[in-house]
Amino acid sequence: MKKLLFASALLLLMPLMAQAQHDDFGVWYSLGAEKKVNKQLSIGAETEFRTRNDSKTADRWSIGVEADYKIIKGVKVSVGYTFLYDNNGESLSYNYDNTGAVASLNNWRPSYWGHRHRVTASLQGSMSFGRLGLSLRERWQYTYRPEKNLNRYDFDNAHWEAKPIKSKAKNVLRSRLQLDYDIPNWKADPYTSVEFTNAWNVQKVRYTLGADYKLKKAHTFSFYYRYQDIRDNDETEPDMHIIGVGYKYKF
Amino acid sequence: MKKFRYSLVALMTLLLFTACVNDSSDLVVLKAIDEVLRSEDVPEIEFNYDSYDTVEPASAIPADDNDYVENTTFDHIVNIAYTDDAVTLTGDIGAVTFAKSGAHLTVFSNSKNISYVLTGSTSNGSFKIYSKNRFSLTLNNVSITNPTGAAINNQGQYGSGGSGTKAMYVVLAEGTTNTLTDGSSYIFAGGEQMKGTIFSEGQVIFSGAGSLTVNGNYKNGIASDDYVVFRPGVNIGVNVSSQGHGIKANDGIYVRGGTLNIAVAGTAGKGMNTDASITIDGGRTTVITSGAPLVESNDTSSCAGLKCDSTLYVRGGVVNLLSTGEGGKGINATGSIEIFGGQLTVVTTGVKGLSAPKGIKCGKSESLLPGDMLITGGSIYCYSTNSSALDIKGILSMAENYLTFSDSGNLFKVKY
Repeated sequence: MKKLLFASALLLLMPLMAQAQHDDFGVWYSLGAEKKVNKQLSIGAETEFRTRNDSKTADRWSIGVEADYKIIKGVKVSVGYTFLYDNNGESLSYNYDNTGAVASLNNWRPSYWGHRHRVTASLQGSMSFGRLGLSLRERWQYTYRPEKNLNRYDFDNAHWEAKPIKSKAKNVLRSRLQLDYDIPNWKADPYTSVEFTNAWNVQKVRYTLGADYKLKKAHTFSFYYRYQDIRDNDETEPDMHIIGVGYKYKF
Repeated sequence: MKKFRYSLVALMTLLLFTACVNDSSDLVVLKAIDEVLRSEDVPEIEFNYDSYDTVEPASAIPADDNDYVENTTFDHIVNIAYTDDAVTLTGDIGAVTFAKSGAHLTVFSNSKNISYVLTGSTSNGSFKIYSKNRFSLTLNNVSITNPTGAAINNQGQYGSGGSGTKAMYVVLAEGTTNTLTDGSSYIFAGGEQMKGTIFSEGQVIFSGAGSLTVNGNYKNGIASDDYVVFRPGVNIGVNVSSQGHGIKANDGIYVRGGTLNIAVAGTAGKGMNTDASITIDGGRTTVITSGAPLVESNDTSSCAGLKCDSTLYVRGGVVNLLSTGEGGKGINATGSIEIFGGQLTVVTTGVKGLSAPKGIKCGKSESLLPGDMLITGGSIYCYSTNSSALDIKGILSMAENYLTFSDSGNLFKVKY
């Protein structure tokens, strides 16, 4: 009976223990607005909502503003600020015996909502080859997470204890190469892109295939499929299949 | 276009409401998983009243060792027969003087080499002795209950105030069944001490192939202001329901053999408790404590199977310790612990409250009284359901020639 219970315990734990290996699915919704101030300058705002856990769980809310400036034809710089409100996933640690097997649970920190601040600065170059467009965007991204008071459960002593999360700042460089195609007499223009997120090594790669549907110039509906490949071994976030749905209004 | 916009908004709203599941685990489920992971095929610790060993052969008796009753010739025999309301002395009674009150007997002796043989049964009687010399007390199918004090009370030399006491050899006659019980309250006289159902100001050495049950309702089951010895062949059960200990001795407890079953239910009770050392060389000792901790003057004292203020030596035999009460420990040695042989099983199942139910605690504090544990032989299984198996304030040293070893926090196992 104890063997059966032990086996059942391991089965129940497997989703947590194998989190990094299991591909997740989520939907990212975005709603934005853009205003062209003049020929060089445009400003915009966007709010986004993301899901995870096969789209059953809210993952993140964000709202941000951005300004783009065309330096010369085909080259633009952008700066932006985004407020992020994340549903941080739980954390569970284990005790191991001297043979390396799991002996017991150690600490559990349940999921919690926390905010972050993000600023970005981008340089993008674009070229056209007939109907085919090619762009390369280099984006510096700084994200700050303030300290937060949290509690975690200590299984060894069977009690809750305070365990604050320290503040943390992260710098990454995101490099995105994108191809798009202007299909004649067709309002949906497809595109594909690959984006690398680098810290001291490749942290994440995103592969995207999508299309933007423009309606009467002012309305743009976006649909895309994205695969997010997590390369950082310290990251517990799983690889993910993403469906993106968005709407932007241009003033 | 409007229809399209409304449909899109409706679809997005519907999709948004599907994302309302919390993917964080349920603590109740995690606790159940943790309990299963921590659960072990924990050995059942129960009293086994079958005799574990037999008396030593004559060849194993060391000569000139005063702990062995065989090395003294007791040529004066006094037979003491109890009935419920009277006690009768026969035999070499000229060697002693005595006083009787119903079935309560007090013996005064300045003579040497006297053996007192107790028989019969009384529910209101006692045996009290003032003896200038060591003496033998043979229990021969006797049952004594003293509602107001110790059943057996050795006060040493009369008028000495308990000093200069000599050994009391308690011999369990082969094949006999003996029972000693005290009352839940004592009546003290003349400033004398009485610390348990069997109380001795001097050493107490148990021998013989009989059985003895000691029931402690006031304080301790067996108590000595000197040391206590258990020899192979004895079969002794101690049941203490009061706030006291199974066996309490100031100057040490020595288990050379025998079968000991000790149940202690009182607050902060210990199976064996001494200000000096506990040495276990053989036999089978089983202790089960179940009481809660006690707080006195900001100091918390919890139950323990074995408690000593000096060193615990385990060199042979079988030792089974179970503590089930809050904070109850298996072994609590203020000094150090040395395991050279034998089979030691320690299980604590109590919850952690005022104190932690450690399996084996060694030392008082890391700075003042660290307490080292040395393991060179034998086998140890030590498990604590809700705390650490080991709490060694000093250094844990193990000989490297063990056969198996594992340590996972609440379970410690080693086998040589």
